[in-house]
Amino acid sequence: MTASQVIEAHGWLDVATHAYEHPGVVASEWREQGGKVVGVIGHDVPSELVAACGMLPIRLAPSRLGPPGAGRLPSGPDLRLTPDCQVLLEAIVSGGLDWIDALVIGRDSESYTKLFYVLRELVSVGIGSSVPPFWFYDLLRLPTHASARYNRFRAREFVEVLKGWSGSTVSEDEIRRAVDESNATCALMARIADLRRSRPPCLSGVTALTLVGAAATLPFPARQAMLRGLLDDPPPPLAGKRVMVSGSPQDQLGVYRAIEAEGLVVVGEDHDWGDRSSAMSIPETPNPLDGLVDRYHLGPPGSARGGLAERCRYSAGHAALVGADAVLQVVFEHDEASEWELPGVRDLLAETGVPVVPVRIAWPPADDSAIGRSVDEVWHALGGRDG
Amino acid sequence: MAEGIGIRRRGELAVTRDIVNHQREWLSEVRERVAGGEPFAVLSADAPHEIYRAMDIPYVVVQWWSSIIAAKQRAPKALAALKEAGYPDDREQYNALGLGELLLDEPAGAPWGGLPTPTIFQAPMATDGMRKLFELWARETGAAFYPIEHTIDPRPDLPTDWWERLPHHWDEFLPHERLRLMVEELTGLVRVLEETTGKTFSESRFIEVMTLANEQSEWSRRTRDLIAASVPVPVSAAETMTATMIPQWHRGSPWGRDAARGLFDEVAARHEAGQAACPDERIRLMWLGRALWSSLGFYQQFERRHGAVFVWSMYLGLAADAYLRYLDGRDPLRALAARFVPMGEEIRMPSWSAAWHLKEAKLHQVDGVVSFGEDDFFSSRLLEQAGIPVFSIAASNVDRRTWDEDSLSVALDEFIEVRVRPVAARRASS
Repeated sequence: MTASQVIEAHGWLDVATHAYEHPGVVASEWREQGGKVVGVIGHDVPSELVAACGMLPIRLAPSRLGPPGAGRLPSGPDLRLTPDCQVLLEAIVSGGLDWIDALVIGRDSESYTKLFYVLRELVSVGIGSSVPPFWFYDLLRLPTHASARYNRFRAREFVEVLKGWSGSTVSEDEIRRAVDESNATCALMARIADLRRSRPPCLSGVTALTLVGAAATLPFPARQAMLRGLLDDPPPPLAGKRVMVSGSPQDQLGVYRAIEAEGLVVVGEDHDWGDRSSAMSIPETPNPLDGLVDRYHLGPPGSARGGLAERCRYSAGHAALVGADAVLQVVFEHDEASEWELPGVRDLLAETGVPVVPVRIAWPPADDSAIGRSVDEVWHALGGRDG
Repeated sequence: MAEGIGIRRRGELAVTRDIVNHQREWLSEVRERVAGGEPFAVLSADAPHEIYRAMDIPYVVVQWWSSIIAAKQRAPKALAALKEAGYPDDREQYNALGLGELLLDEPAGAPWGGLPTPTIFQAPMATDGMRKLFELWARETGAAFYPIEHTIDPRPDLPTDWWERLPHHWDEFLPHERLRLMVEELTGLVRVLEETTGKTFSESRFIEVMTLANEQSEWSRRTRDLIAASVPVPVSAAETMTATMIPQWHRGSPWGRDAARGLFDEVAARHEAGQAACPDERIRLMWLGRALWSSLGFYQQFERRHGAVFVWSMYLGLAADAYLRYLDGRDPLRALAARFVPMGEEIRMPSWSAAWHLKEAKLHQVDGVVSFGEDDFFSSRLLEQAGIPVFSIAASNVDRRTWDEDSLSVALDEFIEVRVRPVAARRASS
């Protein structure tokens, strides 16, 4: 059955939901065809290079891997990883990710750097015997010539690592093909973002988040068929005040569900599992590696490693772009970066009268009460639910 | 004990008093120079100080300034000021105290008369909050912020004996691309500083600075080795924390080198005279983590109760092992890059930190380790496997909401009696 026939048979939302909830099944189907799967931790990894090498990149979502403590880790003192990294480590070490053939960790956050350090050392001392081959992708973010050169070195080095994992060579044309596919997805996601930002919005935040997660899981043909299916058969318009979610990456649906259950619609976000992933296509360059490196080096900033002014401008600008009535800054307790942005984003949005409401919550988010209180604050700032 | 008072350190060395007095005078002089229109930089500990030294741009180091704020018991107020302004009061605390002190806007109460108004801030992007914090602090003072990249070594198999190989073989030991990136960063920094401050970068002066910094490290290494080998120890870590940290931030100056030599001379004289931090020394302890600057006397109370002396902290350990980069005719800027490429990895990257902690513990004949606020799983594992018990505390040295002297003392008393004393007894009888 072709990807389009699957969509016709099951509908785009079921396909998206299945891929979102069961990346291991998607991986197993790919592997049954003889393919290899590379687990990707983070947004700041050029997954296109994985695809160019004929492997399937699947972005790993820690909150969908099970609660902390589910895996087997060495007894003794706490490793003092952030809880999301703890879950990832447990899954990696315990064999819970036995559906990946290799793993790459991006440098979205220094908590990921620490995860890499810990994983490397566990393997070194013989604790992580079932750990698949892994690599750390060190992407620099300062917009300098020195960083650009360094990033190109790391990209070329990553290609060599991928060649070893896949057991095959990769040509410039294959990288160009993967870049073209990525841009094709980006173009469809841009059209879907327009639907989401329309007045009234035609897509809930929960659905948008599901699509982003599914797109980071499915192979290219299935991904495109899913997105085209939505565009061919868009959901009906939604009523509700418009809110943008800022802050920590949301790789689960619970927070958005809690927000939208209270009559708000999440029309955009500035974190790593939403609009940011398709906000910039890959520039065309004679050597496709150059455009690819630039996309990740110079693309929209993530919170953990972006500068303060650039992040505040990005967040406030994005709130304006999506036509948000309010911004809800949802920050996990382990997030060291996002809360520094709050006063700056507030100042930038003050002139437009868009309120910014912060809330700090535990990870994984299990209790909706804090979100509920912050949503009450949003409604209060907007003049009440009847306003 | 009332919260926020702290336990004062009992002075052991004359040189420490001289160092602190000099630092006060130096800051006063800097304040005068800045009032006269000179530039002034606020740098993180892992920024390339030597370039500023060579260009005669005065600077203070954030971590030192934080230690002063904490020692003057102003950390709680500084953290409260951050919260009042809408910023987190429990993120990057050690680095954020200075911004909190600024936001307090109480110049009359500021420690040591307060900082002059900075013109430059610089920090590497080594933590998630650091870049934002420094950018914000710079904005609040009207200063420029120069972030610098920090790279990661992705190699699966890292050599761990960095303290042996980096001093002489830094250009082979560190990956070429990491060194090249840092050299380019430093080259760019020199150009920016020349343009923004009007100061000149002299290669001859820079070589002199690098040479002085190496000489300072050599003196620290001698002091460390003497302390490690001396039983009983002539001076405790409570004393060497201050006596090492302040000269470290004058690295590359004749005063910094001479202060490190002065520390060695006095420690050696005490050793030769048979003077000890604790004449009844029975137990030797290691402190992993940042110092309790607001309560340095905390460390010394265990001497009286248990004959237990803290003989090691990272301050002298890093001064001895982490900074030496011999030029041997090689490019001094590349040597400086080699100093800063791995900076912090000695204590943050477990492949390196665990091996180093064990090496230092053995060298110092340590019987037990207290780990405070550290990511210490691998260090603890290695130390425990070597028969050295570890007591681990999750807390922040500048946030008294996370620890207090009374409960920490009780916990350490028990740790020493139950786990450390038997180890010390075995060492004594061997």
